[in-house]
Amino acid sequence: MRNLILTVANLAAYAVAAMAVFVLSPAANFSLPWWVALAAPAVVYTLLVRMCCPRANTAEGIGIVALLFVAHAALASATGMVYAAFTALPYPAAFAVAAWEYLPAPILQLLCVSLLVLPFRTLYAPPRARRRRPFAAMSASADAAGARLRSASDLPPSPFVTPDLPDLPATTPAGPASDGFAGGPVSQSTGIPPIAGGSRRDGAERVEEVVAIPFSRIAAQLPAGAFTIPPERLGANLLEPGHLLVPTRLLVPQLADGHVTVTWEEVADQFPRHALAVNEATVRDGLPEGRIVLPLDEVIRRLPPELFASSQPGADMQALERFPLPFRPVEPDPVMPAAPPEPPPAAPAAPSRPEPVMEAVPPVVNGAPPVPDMTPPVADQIEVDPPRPMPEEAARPAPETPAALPAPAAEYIPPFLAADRDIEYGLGARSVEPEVIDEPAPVEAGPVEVPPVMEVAPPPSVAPVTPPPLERPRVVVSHTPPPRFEMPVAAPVAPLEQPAPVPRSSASGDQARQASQLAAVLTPFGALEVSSTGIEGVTLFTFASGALPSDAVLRTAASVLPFLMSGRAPWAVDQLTVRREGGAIVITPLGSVESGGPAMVASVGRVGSLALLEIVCLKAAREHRLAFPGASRREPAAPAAPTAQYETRKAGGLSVGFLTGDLDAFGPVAPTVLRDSAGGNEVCVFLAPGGDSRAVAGFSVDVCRALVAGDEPALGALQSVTFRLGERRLVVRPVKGTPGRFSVLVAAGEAVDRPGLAHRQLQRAAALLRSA
Amino acid sequence: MSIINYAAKEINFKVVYYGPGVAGKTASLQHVHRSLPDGNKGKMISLATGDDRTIFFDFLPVSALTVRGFVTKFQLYTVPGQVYYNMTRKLVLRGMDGVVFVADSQWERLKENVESFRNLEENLREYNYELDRMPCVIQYNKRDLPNAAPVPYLEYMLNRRARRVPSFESVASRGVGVFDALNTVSRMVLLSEFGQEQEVQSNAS
Repeated sequence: MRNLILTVANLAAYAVAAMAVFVLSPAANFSLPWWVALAAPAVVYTLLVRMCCPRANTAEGIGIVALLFVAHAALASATGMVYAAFTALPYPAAFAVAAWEYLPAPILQLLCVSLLVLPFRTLYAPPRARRRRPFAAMSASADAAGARLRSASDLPPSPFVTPDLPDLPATTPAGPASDGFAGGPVSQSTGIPPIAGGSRRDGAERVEEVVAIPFSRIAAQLPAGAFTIPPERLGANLLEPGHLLVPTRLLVPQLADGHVTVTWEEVADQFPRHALAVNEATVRDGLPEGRIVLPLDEVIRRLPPELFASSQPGADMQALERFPLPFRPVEPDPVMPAAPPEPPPAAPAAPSRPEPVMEAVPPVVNGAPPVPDMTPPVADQIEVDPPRPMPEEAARPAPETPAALPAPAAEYIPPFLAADRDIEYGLGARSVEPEVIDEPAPVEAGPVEVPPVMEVAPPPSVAPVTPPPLERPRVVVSHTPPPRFEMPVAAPVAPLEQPAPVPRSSASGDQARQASQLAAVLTPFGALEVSSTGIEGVTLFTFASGALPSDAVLRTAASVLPFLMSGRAPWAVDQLTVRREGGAIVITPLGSVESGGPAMVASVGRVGSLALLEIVCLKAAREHRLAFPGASRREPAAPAAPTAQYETRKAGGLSVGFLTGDLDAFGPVAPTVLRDSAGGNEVCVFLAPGGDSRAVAGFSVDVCRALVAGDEPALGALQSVTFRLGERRLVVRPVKGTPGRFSVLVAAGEAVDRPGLAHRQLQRAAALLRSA
Repeated sequence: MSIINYAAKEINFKVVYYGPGVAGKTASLQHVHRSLPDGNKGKMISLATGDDRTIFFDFLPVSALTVRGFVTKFQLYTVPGQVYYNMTRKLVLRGMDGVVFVADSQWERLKENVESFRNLEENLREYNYELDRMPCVIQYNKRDLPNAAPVPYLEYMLNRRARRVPSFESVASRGVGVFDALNTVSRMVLLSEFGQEQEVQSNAS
């Protein structure tokens, strides 16, 4: 009804205006050529459709323009009839006056038609857009229907702010509650307040609440090549430009899982159909499990805070107050400083933290290692000073805890640490309970037998040979011609020289023996597909568990092979680990890369044990060198030569000195900030005093360039690259920064005996730098 | 399940630090070990991989109060957080008297927190333990990181059981909040063992 009234009013206003102008100045000499009467409306209405119907495809746009043009012609025709009635002109002459000979008339017609269609905008929108009416309605639904659109533009300030933590008090509270968390579907156990959704509008349309997620946060998940336009334009052409609208009813049941996704079908309507390069089923198949993972921080920030408010009373802490504090530290707990102290940037950090007295078992057994005493804790290991000495007897009865499991505890030896034993995995084989370690690496109990290796004669056309069914790890040695991979070598990296023919220890039979021995050491990782591949003269033994795409793993290995050459890295490299979001790739040279290797390449997914894989690979390399000394001969490393010019610069107001104390796992290090001569890359280097920071910076940037150039979407973004020789570590982390900020963070230590801690400290430093 | 040694007049309690991998369980225990006076602690035993991931468990015996003439001793354990070490986790949980659930506050680790918490409930069920009846606190760790999720949402995810439990924010690498959580769970253990009528003598100082 309202639209009808607006239309009638518009027409009436046009009629009055056209007549008034014609009566007041009938002799106005604003004559136009006749063809302008055709061209002007076409241009104006085309622009109008482009602005109002950006999602209409070409055919729909032409149709809408044609309709508007017809309306314009009808209006001109009617006006001509009125002019003919008021004057003595014949109708054709009056029509010419109304259409083009009297300029005010066509201008008024353009204006009227443009206004005429606005009330019916949703009608002349393309059918797909009309289907989204429930979403579109929400854009203007801050009315009685009660729907609330929390888009980026109308968001209230975030209810949650990450605390600065000047002091961290207990937040607690507790008391009787009405719901249970565990077990069943979250939607049945939430107990959250109901959200406005499902209210009805105009008696017909269902209006529901949505959350607007910035498209830039999820664009990377869409399959490559699924759309014909770049992500920026795709985002601008969404139903809500720049945002993906997700109904709240889909989000709330997932909030308690700490992970929120939507299926492609639930949001497909918001994408412009004409931008699809493939059909929707292909897009869905290209998404992990057909779902888009939403950024949880964006979701939570846009939800009402009362959703997370607890109506349950706090815990009764008064009863606890009757007991004095059982534990009182020598010094009170520290509090977070408001601003971290900034030591002089060049000053080396002194190791300040007193290390606790720990009995940490050496994880990697080099050479002929002593078998550590892995007996679980018993009373005689406890040292307590008077006046309250700890008991001499076992702290707990035998069957109660692992600490007191009598026989199994005495037997337990973490198997991969024992050099003289075959590798087992986990505790299952020696448990008091007949349980096995959970997936993904189920390993049977008992000593591991080296699986028989299928020796395949080298007929040229034999594809990977499937061995007979084995319960033990499946080992396949393929002798297919090595696939061609383009080496994504960064510009400053010296290309691998084709080595002179290297006297290999033998041909394929020898490779099979080498592969089978390496595979035997990798038994803890279950079934592996082993293959040998030659890349640029270097033999790579790859061990694929299926967690990562083997092609992508191989390409990544190829891209970093040049950095394993003597003289390229700051020191000879025992092992190189590339961490990406999707998993990690461990490359362990078995011989000199210049001499054709070989090297072993193993990978692990996100949930796998990277530490165990690194340990096992090092052990495999040791055994390989013993078994194949000729094939594993390594050349001594020449000193590294810098390949790029780097200049020390100031940190631009951001002091990195405060990070020095947080990197104590690398030993005493001093920060240096460098920028390359081209001014592009900025590197923050933490080295032991006296280290050549320029050489390390150039090398690190080259590594990042090579891996970014050979980017593998299937493996995710690059997180870090670690070079190790014994306890020496050089860790390179690209920092996602803005121009002028740090782009690469590097830390190196001479004796990093806690590499996990070092990794986490550097990860933390990168996060701090990124947020600085 | 406390173990009472009447001859030595000692009561031993077992507290387990539970949570997803790299959440800060071992770091919390290390801070406790560093910070307690020598007279109240034994040797810390840590079985970790080269990547500092706990492969079996960490163990730290500490002594606390004297209650009714009995010296109370707490054995602090951590569990390996990686999903495939569940059997080890179950073994460590056996006979425990209290649990500190260490959650990683980072947005990208929230899913692992929930999975670990549900794993804790499942493992306890196998021993016929009820988390609602067990002394338990939650320690929201890594609160100093810029990508830490807000505490109300963490509470919404992890602390909506029939009985809400005390929760604490912490930065285990710097020791912030670690003793708050430990003292609270220890008091809850003592309360469940002795009730409210007891004669307490501090042994810590």
